[in-house]
Amino acid sequence: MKIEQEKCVGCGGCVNLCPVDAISFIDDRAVIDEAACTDCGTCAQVCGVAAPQQ
Amino acid sequence: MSKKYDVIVAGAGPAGLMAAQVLGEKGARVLLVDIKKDLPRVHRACCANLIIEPGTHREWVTCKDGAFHFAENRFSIPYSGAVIGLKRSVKVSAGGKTLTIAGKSPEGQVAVSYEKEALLQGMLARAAAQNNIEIMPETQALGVENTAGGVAVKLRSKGAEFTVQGSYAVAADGVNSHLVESLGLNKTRRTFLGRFMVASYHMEEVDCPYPESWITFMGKGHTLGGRGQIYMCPKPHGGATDKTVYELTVGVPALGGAAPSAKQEIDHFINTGKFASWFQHARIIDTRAAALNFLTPLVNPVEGTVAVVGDAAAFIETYVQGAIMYGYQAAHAIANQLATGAGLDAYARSWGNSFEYNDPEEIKRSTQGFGLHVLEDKDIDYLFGLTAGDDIHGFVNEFSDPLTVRTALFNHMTQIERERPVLAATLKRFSDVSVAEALQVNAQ
Repeated sequence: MKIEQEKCVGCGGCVNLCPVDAISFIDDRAVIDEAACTDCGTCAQVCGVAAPQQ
Repeated sequence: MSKKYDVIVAGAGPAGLMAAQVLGEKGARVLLVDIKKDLPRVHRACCANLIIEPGTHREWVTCKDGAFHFAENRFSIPYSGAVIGLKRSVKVSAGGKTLTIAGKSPEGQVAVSYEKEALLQGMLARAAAQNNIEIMPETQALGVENTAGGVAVKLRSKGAEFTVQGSYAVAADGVNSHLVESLGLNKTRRTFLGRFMVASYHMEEVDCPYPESWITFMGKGHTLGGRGQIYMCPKPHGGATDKTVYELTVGVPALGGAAPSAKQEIDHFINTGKFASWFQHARIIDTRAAALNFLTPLVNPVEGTVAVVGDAAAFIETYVQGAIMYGYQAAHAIANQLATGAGLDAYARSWGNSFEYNDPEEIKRSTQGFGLHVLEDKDIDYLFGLTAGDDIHGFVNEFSDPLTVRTALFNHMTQIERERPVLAATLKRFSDVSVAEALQVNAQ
């Protein structure tokens, strides 16, 4: 998964719900560590503004 | 082993900031961490209205003379931002019928709309002014462990992971708390409704026919997916604009797949929904979002030497004012514990006695109006139409509002039984619904 930075509003919802702690906050935007990401899709499921993309 | 910190506070929202400030004033060495860089900036969808109904969380919060006052807990915190008194709560059906509740407070208000960023800025400034409070932005609390002599909190900052030791920890890291999860406490909680996602817009130039109102859009016809919650209210906006700003919030179940996202629903609502005409000139000045799990409250918010405060311990939320109050109470309990070796359990008792969702009977009373969401839109149109001209008074407090609505509708029961006997029977059944049923029914 990747987070489209221009769509992310920085609410932090995906950061805390990521089951493998693969999402960090950088400059108040969510950024996925692709090496740690398992592509489970939880972030896409919970994002209110559809910022995470496969 | 001597530790660097007496208390490690995870989360610099209203609960964490209040806890840090009180502990700092008591002389404790405090570490306050938060994942954000710009701490008072609010990116998360949050209506942040002051709930002024006496008795909410066994407290009565008012806003007067530049401060929020907590009468029962006997403290105040400065608030220098703007406020908008909300004079009525208007529930709008898909067919445009309304049920209007006038404000029951001495000022004739149902709630007070305020600016959460201004509140947090003031709280942060007061915490930052204390030398014994160390503030670490851009730092995520990943987990906490009770150790032989206190707590170990695992942190991540700019890609590096490390552990800090303290005597006590405060988990103020919000509704999806990592610290609560790491302690295994979520296994003790039940899930209602699964997950929700939320999107909200702050907009200028909204042609809203209900000024100074808390507006709830009721019924399936407002959304693409036929489910969800939609609210709107005016919001003061930091001197950034002189125009009236409306905050529109849409929350829908996070179902994944082809189900509409909160973003699709809010865009539908303003562009093609039943009331799109209100928004034809609207300009979006801010977008916010949120995601949350609906878990029953923590029965015991103290685990070893970790106190869980605010939304981290709650079902849905404690409101901002509850976060402040529980942060205040937990900090005093920890300060007493640090000074005398006892007192932390006072916070757990207060939580158990004051957070409404801990009391099944209170939940039952408050959920007796939830069933409205399962009615067909034409039924809601009909019922709201009956209340035209009624003199209904109340607040927006989620613990009393459903009962206010139910009472208003039941005042017309004779007519409903005569004209719509099936609907009358359905309405009466809501009174007998169990808490679990009510909350699940609400999700459809």
